[in-house]
Amino acid sequence: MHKNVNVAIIGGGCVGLSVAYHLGKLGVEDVLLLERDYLGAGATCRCGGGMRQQWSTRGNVVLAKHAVQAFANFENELGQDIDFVQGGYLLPAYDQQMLDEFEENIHIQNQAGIDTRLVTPAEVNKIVPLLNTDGMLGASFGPGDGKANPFLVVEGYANRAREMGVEIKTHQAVVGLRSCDEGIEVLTESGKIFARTVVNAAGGFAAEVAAMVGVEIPVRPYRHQVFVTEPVESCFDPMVIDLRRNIYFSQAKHGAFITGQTDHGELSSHNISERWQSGVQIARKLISMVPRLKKVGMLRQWAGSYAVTPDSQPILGPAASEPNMLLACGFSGHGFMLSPIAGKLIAEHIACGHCETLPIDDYLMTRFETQGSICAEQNVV
Amino acid sequence: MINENSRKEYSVDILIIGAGPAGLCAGIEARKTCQKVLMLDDKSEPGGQLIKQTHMFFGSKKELAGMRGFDISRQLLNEYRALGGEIFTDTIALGIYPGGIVTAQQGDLFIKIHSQKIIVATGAYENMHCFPNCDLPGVYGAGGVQTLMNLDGVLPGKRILMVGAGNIGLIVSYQLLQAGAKVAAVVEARPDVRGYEVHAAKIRRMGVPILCSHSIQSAGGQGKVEWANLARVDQNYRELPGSAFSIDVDAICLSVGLSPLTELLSTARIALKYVPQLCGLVPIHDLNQRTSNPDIFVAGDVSGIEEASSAMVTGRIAGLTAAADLRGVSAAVETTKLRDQLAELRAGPVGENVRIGKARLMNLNFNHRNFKKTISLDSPAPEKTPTPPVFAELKTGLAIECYQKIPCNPCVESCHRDSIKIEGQMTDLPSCDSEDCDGCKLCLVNCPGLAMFYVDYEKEPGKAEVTIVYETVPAPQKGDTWEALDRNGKVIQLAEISAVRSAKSFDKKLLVSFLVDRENGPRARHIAPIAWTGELEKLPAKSAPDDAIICRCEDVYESTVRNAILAGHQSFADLKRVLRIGMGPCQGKTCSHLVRQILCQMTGKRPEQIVPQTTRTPIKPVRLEVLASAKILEDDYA
Repeated sequence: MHKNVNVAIIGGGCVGLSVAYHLGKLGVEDVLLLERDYLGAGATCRCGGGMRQQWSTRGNVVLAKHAVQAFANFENELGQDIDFVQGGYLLPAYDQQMLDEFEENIHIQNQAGIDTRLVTPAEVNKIVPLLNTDGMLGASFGPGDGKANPFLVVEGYANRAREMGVEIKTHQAVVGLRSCDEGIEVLTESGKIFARTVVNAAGGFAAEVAAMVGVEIPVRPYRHQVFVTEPVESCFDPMVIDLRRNIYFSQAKHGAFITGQTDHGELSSHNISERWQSGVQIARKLISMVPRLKKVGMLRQWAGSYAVTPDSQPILGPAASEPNMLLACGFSGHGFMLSPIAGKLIAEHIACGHCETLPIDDYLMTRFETQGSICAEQNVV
Repeated sequence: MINENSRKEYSVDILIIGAGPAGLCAGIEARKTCQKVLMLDDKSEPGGQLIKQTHMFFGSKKELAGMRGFDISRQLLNEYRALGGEIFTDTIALGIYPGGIVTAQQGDLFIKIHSQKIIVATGAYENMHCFPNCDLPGVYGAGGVQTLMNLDGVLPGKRILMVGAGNIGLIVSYQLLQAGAKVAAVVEARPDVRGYEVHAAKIRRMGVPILCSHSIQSAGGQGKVEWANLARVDQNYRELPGSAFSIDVDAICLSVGLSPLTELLSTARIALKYVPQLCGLVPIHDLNQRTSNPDIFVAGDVSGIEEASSAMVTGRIAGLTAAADLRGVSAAVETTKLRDQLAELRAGPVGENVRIGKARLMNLNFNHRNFKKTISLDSPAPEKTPTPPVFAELKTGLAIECYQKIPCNPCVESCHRDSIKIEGQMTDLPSCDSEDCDGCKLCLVNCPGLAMFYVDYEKEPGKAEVTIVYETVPAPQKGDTWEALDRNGKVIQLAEISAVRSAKSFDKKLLVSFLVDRENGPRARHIAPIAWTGELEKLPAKSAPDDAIICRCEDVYESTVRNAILAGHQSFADLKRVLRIGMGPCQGKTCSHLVRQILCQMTGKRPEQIVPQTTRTPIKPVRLEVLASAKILEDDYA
């Protein structure tokens, strides 16, 4: 396999596929996507499928707003049903400090045009009657947030990208990269490819891919545990994120509850095996929050990687010393929900040399060069 | 004996998962030298499939051949318990984690067991067969039928179609007949009977037609099975135009093969390989049954589908090796003997698949010095379908109708005059020196295949007295007039019952003698009450839907799967993504076999080229309240 392409995208998760789709849409030709496993095999198909705009940093809020709009319009634009449900996100607060922080965040969110609001426990009872509101002082509620099926999002992006001429190769691992004049040579298991631009959408392995061209990026993989229950009758609209208990959960369109937590204290690694202890912890928390679920069965547990940056915001744009590599990584657990806008911005950058939808200055990797200026996202589970 | 902490945590030397023949034998050997041996079984009664096996087992007397399955189970269990071994019944293993941790559900408790060595003896599960209306009430798996009939005492139907003429299909057909049901027919898509010829002969002479090169095309009925459409098929199992017909049945029993139950091994990240001869995805293991994880062993059907006798021997090998490991010694002497026994059970043409399969598996990446000796790829030329011998002379004596080389020898041991001999290996055929035979007929009762008959031409002038083993209902009485049947169940003539013998040692079997005309002596091989048997009535084929369900958890039909494959989703992972196949509670146990078949058919790939689904813990759904009951120690976070 010897060939020249305009763009080689490394990573067939929702971010890489969104880049591919948007490049196709913008008429960029000779685009090749390389995925070392099957499409979505990394974090995409392991994620909880939620999308929210309730963030504590303006950077995340703005990206999320565009992304949620894109998901809401996904079926219209791509002709693929993605099980999209705009059931809102509910973040309970159990002390005054938390409530105050939420209020500040809501201010940032409202400024960006997102209709998040604080709700009382009584209102929470109306929004989700099954939720235990013991000890709850209130909650931040964003009715415009929602969820979708990552499998189907992969399907939609991949099918449309292929139709627009993007070549997608699965089970094709990139084993090396070599910077050269006006491009990067991509070494795969089955040959060399010359690409004018390489997009690094390698998720948890983004740092390794960047290192292949000598660029160091502050993206580290952390294991996160998830499980899914058997499907039950639809009874629960929003995604709930309990920052105090360290758990999120929602009911997918299909009826199953998907829930997960962060294992605090775990070191960064590529290990994504499931821990039974985490399953037990998540089950206890879930029962305490929705007691009715105690009779429901856990079907499967698994884990996936969060590719985390120091401020929990993604890195978008050129890699420092190798401008022919564009980074679309470090989503810190929000890659699925930000994938529509991230892919669009990267595609615009390639097609037009700049991002038309919104400036990416806040997401460049250069932000980490100035110590102390980082404004880190707080609302992460 | 077993370190226990608040009934939620245990620590043992050897943990055995599955208390079937392999697990029990592993436990017995392990317990002989090892203090803390614990066995888990998901059922209330240990014994695995043995507890529903009412037929006599083949094999060597050493592996308790000639006994009925449930008696073998009882004996092994007593032996294990007498040695002080412990069993947790109703305990479902959920996953194997690093460091020898096994989690399980016991009643409403979530328990954790730490073990030095793990022996996985989880057995097999039944393959599903896919045809329109295969999900109608009245379609059963053969294992389900055995459970209903032999454990719960419930007959699944009165007139049954058996799909598949492997050993299980043939045995369950016989058991259905014994229980008083009619077996309308056995259909087998292959051109020949896959099971042992003696099992086929037993049901043929009772009038059950075995239709080879036939398959079930569809079923139907008002809310339950009332009929099945059958058709003749070609070598590629495609329906021959114009050959379809319908038969009236009220239950359909599927016996289309077993697959090794390797889910738990997957959760332990054990290396698996698809080996068609061993019936599916099997763990790579060596001659000591050790897997790619040196502390995890496998035994019985989970390491490749075989007979119960082999399962017992592999269990013993695994148990001995695991226990010897813990003591830091070698079990080579004992296991070599067992491997010789295993080689004997796998000898001959019927063991050929297993020999090839095991050789393929072990050739992968294990060094094993005994390879040549125990698993030989040299096999005799394939035998043609055995044909009954012609009895030219009408001479009084024993008729041994055992003409297929299967591993079996109880007849030899039953003869008090040592006149029955098997020259060579156990799989060779028995013969009787008629000069020595005194006509005691005890061998008839001891033959697990019911393949021995005694014909006496001197009892009454012009008559032949045929003696058979009879173990169905209704029982004949001396003096009754019944019909004598030939080997295909066709009525030959009326016959007078001349003797009915029973004894405690006969194990509920009757020795029945009946008189037929002298020239019918070589033909008459069974009896039935008058007008008991009948011809299979073939009706015009009925109309049925085109589509059939594949994934029952997620309600996915065959046409949907085929369309998705056509659209480019040519792997389990891709199909799962678009169709949710395998994402339900069974994690693909029902559908993965079917999906693999369709993928192979449509993509031209071989089954071993299809990347299997990922199995995730827990392998069975666990209620959140049970999960939450677990005890987590601080060091569990380490």
